[in-house]
Amino acid sequence: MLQITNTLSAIVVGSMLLLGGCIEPLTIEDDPPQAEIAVSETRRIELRYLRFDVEGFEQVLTLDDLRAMPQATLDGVWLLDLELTPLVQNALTQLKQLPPDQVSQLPQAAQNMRTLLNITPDNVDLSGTSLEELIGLSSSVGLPPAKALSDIFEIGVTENFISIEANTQAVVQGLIASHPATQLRDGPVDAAHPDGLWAVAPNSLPITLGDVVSNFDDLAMRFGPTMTEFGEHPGFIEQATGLSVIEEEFAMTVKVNLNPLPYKGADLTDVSGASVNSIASQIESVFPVDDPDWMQVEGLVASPSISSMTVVMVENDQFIASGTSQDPLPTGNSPAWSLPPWEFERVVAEMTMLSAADISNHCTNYELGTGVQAFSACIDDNHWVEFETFNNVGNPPPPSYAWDVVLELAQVRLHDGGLQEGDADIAFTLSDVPLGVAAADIVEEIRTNMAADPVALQDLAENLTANTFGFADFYYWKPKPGGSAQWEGDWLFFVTADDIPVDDSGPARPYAYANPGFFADAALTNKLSSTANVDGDDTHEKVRIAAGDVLFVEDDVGRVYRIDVAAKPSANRLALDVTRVN
Amino acid sequence: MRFRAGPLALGLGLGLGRGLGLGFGRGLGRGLGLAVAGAVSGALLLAAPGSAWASGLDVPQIGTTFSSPTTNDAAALYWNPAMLGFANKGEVMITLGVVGGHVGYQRDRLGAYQFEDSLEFAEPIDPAAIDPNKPGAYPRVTSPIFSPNAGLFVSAPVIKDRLTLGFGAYVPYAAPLSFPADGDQRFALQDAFIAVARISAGLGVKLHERVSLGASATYVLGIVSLTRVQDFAAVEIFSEALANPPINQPNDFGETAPSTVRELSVLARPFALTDGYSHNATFNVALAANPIDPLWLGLTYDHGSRLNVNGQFQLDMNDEFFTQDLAGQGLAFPPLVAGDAKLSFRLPKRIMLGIAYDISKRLRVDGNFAYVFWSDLDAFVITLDSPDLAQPEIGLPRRTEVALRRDWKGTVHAELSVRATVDKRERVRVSGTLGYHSPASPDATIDVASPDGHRLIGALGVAVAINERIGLMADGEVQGILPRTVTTSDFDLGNGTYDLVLGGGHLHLIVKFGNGGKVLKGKG
Repeated sequence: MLQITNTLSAIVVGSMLLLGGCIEPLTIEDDPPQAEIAVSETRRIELRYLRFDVEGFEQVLTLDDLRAMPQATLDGVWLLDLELTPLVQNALTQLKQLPPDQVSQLPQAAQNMRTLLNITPDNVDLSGTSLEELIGLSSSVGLPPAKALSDIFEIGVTENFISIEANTQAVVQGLIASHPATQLRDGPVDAAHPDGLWAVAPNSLPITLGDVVSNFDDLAMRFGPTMTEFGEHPGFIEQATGLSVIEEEFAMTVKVNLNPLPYKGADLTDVSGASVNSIASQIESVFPVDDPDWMQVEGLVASPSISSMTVVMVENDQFIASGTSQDPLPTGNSPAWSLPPWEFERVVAEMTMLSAADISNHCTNYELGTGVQAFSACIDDNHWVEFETFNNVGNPPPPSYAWDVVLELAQVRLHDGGLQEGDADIAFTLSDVPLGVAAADIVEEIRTNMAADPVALQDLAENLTANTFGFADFYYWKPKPGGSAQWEGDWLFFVTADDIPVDDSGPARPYAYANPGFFADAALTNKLSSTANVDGDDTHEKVRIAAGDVLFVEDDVGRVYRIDVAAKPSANRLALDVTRVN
Repeated sequence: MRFRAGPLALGLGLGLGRGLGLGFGRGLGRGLGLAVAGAVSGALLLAAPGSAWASGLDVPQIGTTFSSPTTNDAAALYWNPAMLGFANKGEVMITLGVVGGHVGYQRDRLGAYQFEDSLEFAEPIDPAAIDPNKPGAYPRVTSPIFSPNAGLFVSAPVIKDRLTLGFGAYVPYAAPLSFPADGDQRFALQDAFIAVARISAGLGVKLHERVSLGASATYVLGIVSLTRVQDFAAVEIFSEALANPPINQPNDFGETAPSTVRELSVLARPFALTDGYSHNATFNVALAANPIDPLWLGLTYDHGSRLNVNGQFQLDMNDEFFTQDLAGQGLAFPPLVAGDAKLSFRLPKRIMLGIAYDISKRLRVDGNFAYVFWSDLDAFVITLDSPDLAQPEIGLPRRTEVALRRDWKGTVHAELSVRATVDKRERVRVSGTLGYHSPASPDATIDVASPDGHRLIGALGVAVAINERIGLMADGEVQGILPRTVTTSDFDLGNGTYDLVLGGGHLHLIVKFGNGGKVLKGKG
């Protein structure tokens, strides 16, 4: 009804106007695509240089934002090296404390491994080992064998021979640290890392943004079998699911100082306008890392854990003999020391050596009821253990290092239950294993790492701005107002390969310029441009221009163009007359 | 016929206007000027503190040049419906005419400005970015004004010497304005089309031989379209979006933006308000008295009204800055934003006082004084609604309401007319008028959309009675604002010199009918 009234009223009013006063609604005509410029044809293009310098802009990245990004970009953003020691310790502790009803579900080797973790002087089964002799000796003096063992190792009779900390350390350093995935990670190529490989912090798992977004769905593959200098590392995670450090509400907020606007350039093919992302040229100064709040992360799981994880450790197919000599120091001559660091026998030797470090140089003498010395057990500074018997009490165990003692014991016990050598590879699946690191610590480490290497965020930042449009061959650049006087003026920058956006399918276009840069002649023999440093840029071919200048450039299909620099339309605009030469 | 001075106000025939101030039509004040200004400023949520309305094309003539608060013609329905009570016969008044003239503006930029192709948004601006050639005088721009005009009034005595009814349908104002699209006034106005149609009905009741009361009710239709360049630098919500998370950029944009951040080409977005209609009502009440034979007094109160213009808007955002360059940060307008626009404001109350004295049987002096409460108009409230406006990531909603403060002040109108019968047979009468209207718009807020100022009015008219029942009238009026040079415009928006000249001519056919209504018993 109102419309009808309006219409009628408009007719009434309009009919009274001899000169209509109608104002048409605004419309916008779509620019039709231009045809390729023909040989000898000239077209003009105007380029604008606009700065929109912002400080403290808060760029928020939600999980959805991240999921929309190319996986290659996410994988390229290293967040931190996550120390695995807490995770391993939690896993071993969980195995050690596994309830009996769950223990029975484990493979025999895993059960035996659990037994080893729990072994104490009091519950140790010395049968089948060289320490078996100690049973007799102890009996002769009326002592339980546990007492002698606890004396030697300076632990209580119900204490573990090897603490969980030593267990953890040995597993981390041997099994995990030997895996290539914990040694090197991909990173940006620079002078110090020409191959793009960066060292990972010791005993750590490098975590990328891609890992976070994908919930580490390739963890088993990354830490599975792989070749090393010692042969094939069997890996140490056979299966892992449910490792999540973020929640759906995850959001990373980063403050940035930058000019987010792209450079405006020209696609010579049709002399059309195009945009080139400007992030790379300012990445060094983008993040105000001196601001303690420059990066904030929300939605991290307070205590990250792994829902399910199967840890594996292989044994050597042979029984590894304990050492029989003190030499070579400090390990002795057991072949265990020559084994790959990830094998069970080597790990046991290592963990015992770690544990033995706290054992002091001491001797304990044991006497018969008559007061006559029956035997003695001594351990020296090198942790060489010697038993000596007197008065025909019996045969002492052969001398050996403390780790040799435990190595033999561990191997024997690992094969309990009828396992043959080579059949006792350990695999145990654990549930809800805490990562052992708090969310706040993760955030702090991420913040620190990113502050130290903002260049690593370049791809991410470029994807966030994602404002490269068209296929620019060159673009217009000016120094920031108030910048160095030596760079004042108007410049043309020829694009480099880094100016071409890349996604999971590769670069948006090949970088196929045979002669990048600006030349004084159509034959491209006299180059006017150079890559000399201008305001920190030393990669682009660039040339300072002024009205009246004539340049020649070649595009990525070999066509040559003449560029006549016209009078500037305004302070921050350029006018170029482009003529195709061939 | 006479027009009345005053700003163009959307006053749309409410007799209120102070708007564009083409200023024809007595009593209508600044009506259309308002319209323009309102629309302009309003229209763009974004719109700059609208200047658009102040004075300028005031409402055109109502009735004839003989019409006034003390005249008992059919047009008294507007001027003073109480005078209908003194009608002796029924009367039909048909008016046709034209109005023409021009609005001129020569801008003087007195402030400092960046190079217009820069985008620094907070002071201090780097000296290298300041355009040293920007301040100074710019070429004068003008808009022609030409509009036809028409009207119909009928007064019909129902009860002789007691009750007279009145009806009126007229277009007090309809005029296009067209300034150069790229002129230096473009941030205030490029083109505007404002038209007003009024339909009124009222009555006059003669309470006493010498005293009459009257009232009328009026439906007012306004039609508004306009174009201008919207300076986003002056848009408060744009400033807030820039200042608030996630962008967090303290900036000097907004309604109080200094000149140094204004008129940047990337933020200069063409805007149009089209198909804007307002449907409003108002009323007036009046008193007329003839205390002694030669003296006539008329007092009219016009209530004004709340004005709501609903229309469509289009905003040209077709710059890569707005459409693609910052899309990753949540700024991605479509090239053309379109949606619903609503412009609201209060049209002022008005009190008119007319004093006429018959010096002789052939000569009358008629004074007309008015006070218009333009100070009622505290702000233009503009609402734009479009899904295309919504930029949630940077805090721009789809619906935006902004209040554009106006600091208008009440105006005083004073006109003096002399009317005479010039022939012995008393068939020819002439009228001459001189008048003055004070400006509503202060220097701080004036701009080319409301070319207000001290307005001088002159009008001449002649009426010829063909016979007892038929008469013809012709009149013409010229009015103009004294060239007004402004140097203290807020934010250098409207500094410069304004001028306005309007002229108009109208022909009226007057037909008398009836014998003054039914005679009541006892009235003989």
